[in-house]
Amino acid sequence: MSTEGRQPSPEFDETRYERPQKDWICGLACDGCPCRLGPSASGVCRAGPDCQPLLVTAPGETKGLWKCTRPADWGGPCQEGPRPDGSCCRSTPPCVPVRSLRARRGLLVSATVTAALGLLLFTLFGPARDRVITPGLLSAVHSGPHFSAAHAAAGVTDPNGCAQCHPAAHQSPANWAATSVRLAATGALTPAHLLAREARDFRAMDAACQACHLPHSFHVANVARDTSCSVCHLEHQGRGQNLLEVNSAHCSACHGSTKDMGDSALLARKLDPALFEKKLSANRAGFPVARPPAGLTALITSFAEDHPEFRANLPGSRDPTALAFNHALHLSGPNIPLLDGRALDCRACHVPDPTGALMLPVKFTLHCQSCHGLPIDASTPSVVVPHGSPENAREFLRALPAAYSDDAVRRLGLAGKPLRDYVTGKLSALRSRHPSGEQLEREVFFGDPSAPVGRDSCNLCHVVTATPAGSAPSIAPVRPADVWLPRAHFDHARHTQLDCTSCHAATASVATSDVLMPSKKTCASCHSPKGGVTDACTVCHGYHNPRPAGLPGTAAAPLPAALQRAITATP
Amino acid sequence: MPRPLQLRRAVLSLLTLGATGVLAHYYPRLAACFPHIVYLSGWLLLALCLGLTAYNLRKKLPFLPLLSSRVWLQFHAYAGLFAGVLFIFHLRFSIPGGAFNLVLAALFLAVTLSGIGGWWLSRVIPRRLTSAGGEVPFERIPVIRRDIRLQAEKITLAAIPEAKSTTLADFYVRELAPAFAARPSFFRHLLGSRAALNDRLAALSEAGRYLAPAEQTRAEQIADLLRARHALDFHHANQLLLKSWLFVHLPLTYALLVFTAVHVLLVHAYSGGAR
Repeated sequence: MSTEGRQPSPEFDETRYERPQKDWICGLACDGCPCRLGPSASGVCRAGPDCQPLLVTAPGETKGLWKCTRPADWGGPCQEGPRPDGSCCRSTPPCVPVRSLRARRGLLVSATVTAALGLLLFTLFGPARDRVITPGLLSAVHSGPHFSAAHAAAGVTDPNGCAQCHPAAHQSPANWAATSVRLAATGALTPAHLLAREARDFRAMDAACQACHLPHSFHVANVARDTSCSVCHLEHQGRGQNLLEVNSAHCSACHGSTKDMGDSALLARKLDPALFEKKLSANRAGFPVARPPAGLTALITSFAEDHPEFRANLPGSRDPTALAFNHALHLSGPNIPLLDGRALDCRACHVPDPTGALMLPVKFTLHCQSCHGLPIDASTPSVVVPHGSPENAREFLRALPAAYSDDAVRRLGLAGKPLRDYVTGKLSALRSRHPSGEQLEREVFFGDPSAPVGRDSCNLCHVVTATPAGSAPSIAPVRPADVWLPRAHFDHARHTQLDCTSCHAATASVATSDVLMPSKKTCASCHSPKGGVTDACTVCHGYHNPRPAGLPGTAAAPLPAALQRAITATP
Repeated sequence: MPRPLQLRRAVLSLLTLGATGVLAHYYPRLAACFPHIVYLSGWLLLALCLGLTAYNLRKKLPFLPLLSSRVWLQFHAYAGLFAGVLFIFHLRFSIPGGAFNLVLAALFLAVTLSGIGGWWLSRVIPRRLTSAGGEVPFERIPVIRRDIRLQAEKITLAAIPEAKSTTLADFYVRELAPAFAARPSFFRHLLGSRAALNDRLAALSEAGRYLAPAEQTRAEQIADLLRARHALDFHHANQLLLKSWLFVHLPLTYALLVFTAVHVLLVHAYSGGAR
């Protein structure tokens, strides 16, 4: 290395090395002239005479001579020698020793630790303890006056509600320490528990949650590893925290686990299939799909990647609705009349329910009758075969004179002979086309094979079966499914920016048996990281289900009456 | 062939980077499998903190055969960096809530940042000092400073009989004696300013026109002493800084340990709903 421009190291007495480990240094050190002795370990100046002179008395002398005893490493005996009175002539001036840099640092460390301890003691034993140690504000639903009122109604007297969930809330720090040691040594926080894949025992906390949220304790009958409330619903995340937002990782922790799903599959095979039936509301019909014997235990880590195809779309799946309906013909057929001046589209028949989530059932009177009016003859469109019951239809046919008469009175205002002539004429014209009443009934129910396409017989749409003589033909009941994904929820109202046919391939469907549900791939084109729309599990699925009868422990205790009233009164 | 220090540095850098990569890759997966991952990362963090603090203990026990202090320092630096990364994962990449947790996180951040700052200083300042030359133990600086002053006075006094003139002595008393007696300026030398030295040398050079030949020889010796004093002050300022950052790092470290102990206590005592 070049030394050009560098200062040479100054010369100094290397034997006089001031040890930085010392706590005290001579007060004169900062002036560059520390004494050789230095302060004591406790910081007391030890300055004084350089030596303690020694009185040497030669043989025969009585007075003697004082000799300097200064040690050699201090320079040896001085030239001046001791004073006549025996005192040393050289004396180091006293100083006020100062702390070394290291000692000052140690002092600062001690002061900081003391301050920290003082602050913590003041905090932990002071009135603001709960406010300081809380890891975050409670969510809005678990705080505020409404929540306090509900708590008060339930008899919870804790002012902050902390002890409702954390039994240690009002204990002393000494008890915290005891609890901590117990949990870490023998309790639920031992190393073995921490390394286990099972969530720790949250029963006490869950009991606190379910004091109010009773119906939320059940997932499915074959769950292998039950999950605590607080695993998914994290509290103390601030007032704006939405406890209903659940991270999908919590779902895939089980549904992506081979062990958990394997255990669930085993359990599902042992349990009664009736325990897994999904109950729909009374006015809803679900699409019937067979539940796999092992239950819904496919491994799923994300919707786009490994979520199985919707069971409604599985190979061989068909719509069992006993109705003949051609979507493609109605949407794009050349002979389909305009409706209110517009071509028929999906919304002409499929109307959202008040929530907008699902579609209302298609009704003949609302959605079909305007085109399929069921007139008994073309010249009298107002006399129509009643829809809904084959018995009523047959009764109508057998009372046709009365039907024509009523129509003439109501519509034309006829009476007396003109009325009789009108009815006779209509019946004569009808008789000319249908020689007998039996033939008329047969053609109404089963159609005329020789008639052109577009006739409005019952079997145009319905499955009509002949019955023994004397009774009306049988028509298979029609109840199209309106819940096609019973284990998921879909909201049409949130998808109105899409065209119906972009998901439902109705324009290519010619048979009722076609299942027109979009494939999972269609959904994942948007609901995936690539598509940019959320693919969280909770977008479609809910965790909580009502506990089916027949499982152990189904008798859930009702909410305390006072608490129920308080919750009901909460806006 | 790399020297042991460089080899250790490379190995430890790779280990730290590797550990960070493993952490970033596996932590989310482990978090999905292990419900107690926050506890586990917390305990690991505490172990790291205690290991890092043990370096200070190691320095106090130099007689124990526990590797050299240099190895400990290197481990301390890289383990400290990894602890900072682990701390971010422990916090789930979010700012903690609550006053206590905020203070705890702020302490950890302050300790980590002061450590990084000290590490940077310990890499930069020795190079500066080596470049400047005049290496000297920090504790000897006052003595050497006094020696330089005494030498300057001695040279000045020697010039009087040689030149039979007091011009240099008068100049010394008026211009240089206060400079030799003054305490060093910390910030000026930290910034590497030579303005004061150059001013004095210029003044001495200017005075040279009025000095006798014998005085001029002595003036050159005094100029050398001025340069030596400047280098000494430069050393003082930089070595003082090198020692001073520990005044931040160490107290905060022990305060952090105190808060961490209470944090562990709280987490366990309130673990009914924590994960």
